[in-house]
Amino acid sequence: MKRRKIMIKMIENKNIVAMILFLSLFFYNTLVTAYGGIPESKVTNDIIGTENHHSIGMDQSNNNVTKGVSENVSIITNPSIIIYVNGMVCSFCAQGITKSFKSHNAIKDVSVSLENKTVKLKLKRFHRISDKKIQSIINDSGYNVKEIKR
Amino acid sequence: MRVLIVLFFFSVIYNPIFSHPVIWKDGIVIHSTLTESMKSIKTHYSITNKWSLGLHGIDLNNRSYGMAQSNFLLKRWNGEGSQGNLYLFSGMGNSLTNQHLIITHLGFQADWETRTVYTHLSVDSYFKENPIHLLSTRLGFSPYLVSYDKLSTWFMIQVDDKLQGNEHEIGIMPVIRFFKHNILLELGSNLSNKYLMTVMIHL
Repeated sequence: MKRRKIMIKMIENKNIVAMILFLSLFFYNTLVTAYGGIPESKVTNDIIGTENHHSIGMDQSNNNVTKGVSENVSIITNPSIIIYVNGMVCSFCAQGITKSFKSHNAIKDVSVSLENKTVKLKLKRFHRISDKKIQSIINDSGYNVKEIKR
Repeated sequence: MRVLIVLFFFSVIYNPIFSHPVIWKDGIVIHSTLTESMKSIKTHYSITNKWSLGLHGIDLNNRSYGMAQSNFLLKRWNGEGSQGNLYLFSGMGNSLTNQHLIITHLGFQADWETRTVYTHLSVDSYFKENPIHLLSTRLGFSPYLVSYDKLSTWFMIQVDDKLQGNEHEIGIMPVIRFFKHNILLELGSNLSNKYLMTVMIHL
């Protein structure tokens, strides 16, 4: 109700600058919420340096059990994902990992480390990739996910 | 581009050892080898990460065959610093010159590797008017560790036992393997009567 009154006043006064400002703020909030922005309940602690850690449990039923902080915060504060992979001993065989991730529209860059047994993903701004999708890509490449760190 | 590469390699051929019979889902392998007694070219498409279908062109005893092949990954063990695999192969084809000469193939492969050690065992049987059975083993090591995008080098010893009729033909051959990105090259020779050259590409 209040918002409607403000809108009418702006139109009457022909205050175009104020209207543009209001609409910009409105769309910004909508955009941030739609792409996983910071919910009101999670504020400073998650922004300032808290590590977002997801562990994927490889139980018998092969269900993904994700624990820890919501993914939403990590998109803005930490656009990198580190995946610990089992079985990755040969670069010739692991080419599929790089190829598959690079073809995903959320991924900006992929780097594989055989020494650390990790795959590091850099996300494009405002893009996301779920743990389930990551696990699916790694499995389709012939490997197993041990852990995902965001 | 993929079609051109396939056509290019269709002029060369064979070896019983197929290092990567199944790769990542939707991946394509083109594998071509030349030895003193056999030649072939293989191309496989991995429908899933456990199953691939392919075509083989084989030259055995101066006869050429075309075959359709199915490779199945029975089991894979992905350890923290190792990988082990069990594969099953089956194929069926026909002579390219004689319409009534059918050839079938059954094979089994086990391998285990780390970043420095490679072991391989395969058994292949080609059933035709004069069946051939091949037992092949490899033991290899990498003298240095490399990062993901650098040239990797392996030194291996390959031991083959070919049984045809009542005749055994045993061969021992050192092999050197290089690979970088999606291209692999192998060269082997016993400096006498046996040699090997393999090229493999992952697409």
